Amino acid sequence: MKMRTFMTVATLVSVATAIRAAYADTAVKPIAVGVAPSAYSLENGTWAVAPELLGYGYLHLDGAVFARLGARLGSRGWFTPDMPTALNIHEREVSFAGDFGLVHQGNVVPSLSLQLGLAHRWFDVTAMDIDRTMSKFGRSEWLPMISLQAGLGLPLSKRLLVEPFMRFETLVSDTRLGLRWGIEATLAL
Amino acid sequence: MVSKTNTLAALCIANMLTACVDIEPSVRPFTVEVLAFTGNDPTTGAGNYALRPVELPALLSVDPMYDSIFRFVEQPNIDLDALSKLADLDQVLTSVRSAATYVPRLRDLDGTLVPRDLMSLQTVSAYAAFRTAADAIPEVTGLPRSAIIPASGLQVWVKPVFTQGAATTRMETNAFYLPYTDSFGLLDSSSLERRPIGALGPVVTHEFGHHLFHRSFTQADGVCDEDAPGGNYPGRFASDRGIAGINEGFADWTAFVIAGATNSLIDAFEPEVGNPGERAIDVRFAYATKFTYQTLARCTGDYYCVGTLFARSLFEAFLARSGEPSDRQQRMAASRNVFAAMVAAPLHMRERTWPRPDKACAAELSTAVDDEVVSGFLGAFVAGLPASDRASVCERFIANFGDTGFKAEFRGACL
Repeated sequence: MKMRTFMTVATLVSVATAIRAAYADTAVKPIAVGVAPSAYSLENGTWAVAPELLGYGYLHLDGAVFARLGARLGSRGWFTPDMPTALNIHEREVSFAGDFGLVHQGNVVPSLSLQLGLAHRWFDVTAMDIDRTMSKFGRSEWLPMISLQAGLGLPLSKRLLVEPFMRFETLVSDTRLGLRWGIEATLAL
Repeated sequence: MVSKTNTLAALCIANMLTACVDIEPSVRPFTVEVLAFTGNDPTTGAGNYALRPVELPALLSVDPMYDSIFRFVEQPNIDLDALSKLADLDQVLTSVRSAATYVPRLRDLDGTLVPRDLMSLQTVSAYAAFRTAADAIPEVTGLPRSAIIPASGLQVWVKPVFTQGAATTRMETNAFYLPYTDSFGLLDSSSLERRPIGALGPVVTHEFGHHLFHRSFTQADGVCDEDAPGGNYPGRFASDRGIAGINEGFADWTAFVIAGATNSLIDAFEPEVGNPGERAIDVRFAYATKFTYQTLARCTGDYYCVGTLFARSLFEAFLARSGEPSDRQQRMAASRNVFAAMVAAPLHMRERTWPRPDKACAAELSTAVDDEVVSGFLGAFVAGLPASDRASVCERFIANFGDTGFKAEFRGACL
């Protein structure tokens, strides 16, 4: 039993070492995790920030081109416009998305990716002295989402990749298309 | 609902981004959840409100939002310099026409379209109130709707962007009406508001009242002609501070007639912003600030205070004639007489010779409220009322405006 465990660990370590060696001279690494804060415009024209966690796995395709598969856990709605005191609506959201992209290894690392995901949105409604017996305002919902993202990675060290990006996103049945601007910072493991 | 969402998701994925827009969320007639004014609280005088679905049979489209009368315009660029000159209004109107029609963010919940954000709630609630007001025109004025609604319809500017030279600003915390452009405006909300102003039925019908004033008094007064000699030139009274006050009072009266509201602003602001008691037209409520023309200093709202006295007088005269404020038919009957008198008032005012004011045809209002003009208006207004209403209105005008605001020599029609 101990021998089998030892062999398994040794195999994983050797595979990981081989992968690391294969990616030793590239700016991208096989696995990376990081954050991707982004800014988006609110209804009243002001801007809000949305936090996001992400993880990437890179797959070498050809030459300097890598496929990038990833997962994102994001949230937004924590910064809301100034609203009346006795009636306000806070639209909050947590989303999970899969990320399918291509990156080009070089001194800078341009990327293009498609994100498919699902957002859970809920509404915190304050309605003081207002009859809500017939209202459906507070009902939460699940919304499929699609985004297209373009970025330009800047390798700040062998492990740290900083990538400003622009994301064009839409949620099904929420007809307003949105543009986000953000910066990803990923650390190779 | 689940299967519909899945279908939309499949559509969206299949057609990528383009299929995700322009999804008509429901079929006509649209049922939309709005903030509805349901009447005044009999104890406090504040408004009662409900978030509830209403059917909007006249609404032709929500994505974008328009019907046969109203078009909601998305963030039009408005040049303030052009807006201040009647001659340049075409430039403003061209800018408004070229702006996109507003699309509220709505979600379809079991056939009811529910707003996703405050501005969307504000626009659909405002639409419901505007449309109610437009549909009531024959009852309110005694005229066909076509006499009040321009052939090109009415525009509602949503979050307009104002420019002056190189400066650009987006104002907030207000709703407004702009005569000669046949346009209303809804601005972004702020925490100075208690409830979103543009969503409040009493506020929206107040603004619609300004349109009725424009189509009655202002139109009968004429478009200002500064080349005409003397003090009786066309448009003589448009820029008078006292008449601006009467305009505000008439708008408050309209909010009462159409919505049954006795204070168009009580629900809009936090108590520390302004004094809602100054706008109460029913002084039987304890919160109402009591003042007369002689004690105008007790009211801080400048010429609006003159308007409040005018609206209070009409309301009190309505009560004196045994009118029941909750009876819509009685309110409408009273309104038709008031509207006819408002049309006739400038014509009666011209029966005397007026001195030329200091700011003839100016974009801004005259410096001070002119007691003579206020008195002249009240006398002319009474002259346009049917005999059955004159005694009750005269009694309240005299009580509220006294010998200064309703001078004895202008009371001929009261005798």
